[in-house]
Amino acid sequence: MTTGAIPTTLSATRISRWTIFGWFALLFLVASQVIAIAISPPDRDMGDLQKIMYVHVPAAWMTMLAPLTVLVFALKYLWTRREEDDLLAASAAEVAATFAGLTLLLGMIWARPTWGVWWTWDARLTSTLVLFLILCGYLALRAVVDERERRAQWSAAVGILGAINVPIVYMSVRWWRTIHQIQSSPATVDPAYVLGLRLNAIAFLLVMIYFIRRRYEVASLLRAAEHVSENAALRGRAS
Amino acid sequence: MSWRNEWRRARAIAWKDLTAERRSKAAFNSVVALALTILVMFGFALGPDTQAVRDAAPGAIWLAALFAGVLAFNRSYQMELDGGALEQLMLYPGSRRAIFAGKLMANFALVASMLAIVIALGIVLFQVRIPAEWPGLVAIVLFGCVGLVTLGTFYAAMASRSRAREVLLPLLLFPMLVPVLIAAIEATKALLGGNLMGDAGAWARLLAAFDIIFFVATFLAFDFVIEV
Amino acid sequence: MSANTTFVAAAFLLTWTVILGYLYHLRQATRHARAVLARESKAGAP
Repeated sequence: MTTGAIPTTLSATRISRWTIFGWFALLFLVASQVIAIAISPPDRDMGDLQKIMYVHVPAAWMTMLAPLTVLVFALKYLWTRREEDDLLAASAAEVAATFAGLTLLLGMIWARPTWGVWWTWDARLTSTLVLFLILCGYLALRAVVDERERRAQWSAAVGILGAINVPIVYMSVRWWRTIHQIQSSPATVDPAYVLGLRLNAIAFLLVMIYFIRRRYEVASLLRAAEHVSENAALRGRAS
Repeated sequence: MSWRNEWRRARAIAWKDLTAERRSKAAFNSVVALALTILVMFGFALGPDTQAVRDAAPGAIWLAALFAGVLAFNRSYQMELDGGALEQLMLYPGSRRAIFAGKLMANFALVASMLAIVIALGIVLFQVRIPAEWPGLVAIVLFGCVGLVTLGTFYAAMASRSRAREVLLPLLLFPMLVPVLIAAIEATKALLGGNLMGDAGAWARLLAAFDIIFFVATFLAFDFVIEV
Repeated sequence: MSANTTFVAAAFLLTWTVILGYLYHLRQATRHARAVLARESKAGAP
């Protein structure tokens, strides 16, 4: 079963490699979290709060990785003009938005006990918020444009420019804060926590890949349905 | 296609847009009126304390220009959309980038003029003290205008041709404008504050760099956006 | 440090809610998409 093939079999009990992959990813995540929590000693300064790192940091990393995926597939689409690439880019964008939202909320849960406020205009948090808005714009664009080719091409342009803008936004927000002499609070990682972090990062990556794949399958199925109904309409008109 | 032909085409399009605008003045008048209204609203939101309002002036002025500019950007494609002229325009030989360049120039003239009026009113309403380095301020305003107009014209090429254009353009445009806005507002603030730390120059250079990046990126991407 | 434990618990709970929630959303979406495809295929076949 190739990645790009539009599934036409409708068996509901189909156990595909991807289903197995999904289960593996989920179980790997559970294991990683349990291990990380079990083996990590409480931090000198933060105490148990340090454990939030095991979900917040991987989520943040995925939030950076997913737009990169959108960028790659958007560029690929402009090169190949294959619908599969457009659908993959769109799927990656939706998953990216989900992870961005999660990262933002986790960032707020971290900020409240650490600094006493629910939000800080810190470079990373703010850039994530702007990225989230960029992704919302991308998804809104796809929602209002119905013509397939136009939607794919516009999404590619918007996705590419949006992805390019993310590091630029990060830089400008960081300088913005430096100018106003706000102390930044870098989260330095104690070597004791690295293993737990790495495990969870891999787990999140597996989950994200699975999300993108499943989201892409939904898009492919809907596209196949459109294809069928268009063909039927054409045949109906011809006969 | 030779560069001179491209340039001539772009100029023709800009001239067409500006002439049509000059005759009806519809877009320019409404855009300026909106910007001034927004500025006044900011005054109510932030004032009446003099210092608070003076501190917020750069932000308020740029945001008023931004919100009103959205109107201008969507309208810049209105003429072609109404007459179905966009397809006609693209039938002419020559690259679509000339269309982009032409609209850019027309929009720049419009938005820069609007900004001039908004700044004048902003200085009055927000009791801004004009610094000795006001030529630098003019430069910053022009740089900021370039960034604003470049991205605005680009995204309006899509938004103006879709449903929910009033919502789509801000939604697409505003997050992309964050770097330009931050740089423009900070540079303005620094200059109005006497440029004690010499930040204004750094921000101005940053703003210029952003302008170049976005100018190149949108130029490269415009073909994909307009042809479909 | 029990207050902090609340935040840690909230963070993990939120993470799993989002992950499982999105998985559930994907399953529903797949089911719906399959139904649409089945319906169109049936309607299309003369």
